[in-house]
Amino acid sequence: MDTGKSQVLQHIPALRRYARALTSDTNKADDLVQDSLERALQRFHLYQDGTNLKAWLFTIMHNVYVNNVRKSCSEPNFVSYDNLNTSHHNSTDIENDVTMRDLKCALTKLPNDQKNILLLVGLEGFGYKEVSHMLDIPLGTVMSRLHRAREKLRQQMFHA
Amino acid sequence: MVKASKPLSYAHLHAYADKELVDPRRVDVADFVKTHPNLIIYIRDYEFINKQLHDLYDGVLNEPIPKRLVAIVKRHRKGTKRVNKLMLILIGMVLGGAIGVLLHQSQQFEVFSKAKVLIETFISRMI
Repeated sequence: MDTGKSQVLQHIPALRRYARALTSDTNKADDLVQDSLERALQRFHLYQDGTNLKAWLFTIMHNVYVNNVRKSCSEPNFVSYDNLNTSHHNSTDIENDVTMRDLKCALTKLPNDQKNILLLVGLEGFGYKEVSHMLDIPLGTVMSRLHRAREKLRQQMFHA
Repeated sequence: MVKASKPLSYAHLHAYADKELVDPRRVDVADFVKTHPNLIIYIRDYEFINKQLHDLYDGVLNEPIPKRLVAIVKRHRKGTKRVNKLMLILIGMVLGGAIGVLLHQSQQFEVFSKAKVLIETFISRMI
């Protein structure tokens, strides 16, 4: 069990990446990771050895995120200008910077249920079936939400 | 993986871009797309979005993990170790107690058997 808990450490970078993409805010992202880790480690006895620990942690993070969004739905969703302009790539290509900023803006406009799926598939590399299992939704719903998310991004990024 | 033998839809273009298709269907989609260049644009856009997501957020993977996050894992690991230590102490106490009781009982049995022998020899001498 203790070894299992140690393995959680190696998934923190991926959890932080997903949280950063979800929240578009460094501090909120780390708060989300912190809450998710607390919940995961408190309920670690529920984790079944030999199953996908990364998927289990992401499922917990998804649930924590959904709960947080529900709690704060009355608060306005500000995206700080600093965060919008902080990119984590080394490219000096201005066009690329603009495209990435467009992508970041477009992501903030996506409904959460579509954004989650887009990020889990496109960024974290989970399979459609894994996502379906993680979010407890049918496979067809995963695919249709993914389609809608990408079409919105395409419209905003390439055809605006 | 998306199974084969279904009519082609946009879902298959996404699955193709995400490398989710198994081979017979993947080849079907690849062949179909070759003859429909307008669909290639969709696949390229989907792949481009994936690439841009990585360009945008992969830098986070190389950032040092904040101490507060590492501390949570360490705290829970220590908690597990403490519980394990307590369990060992409890098991030790129970085992110690059990051994003590057994020894006590065996001593009682020894005393009883010695007394029995003495009584038997006394009775035999009396007779």
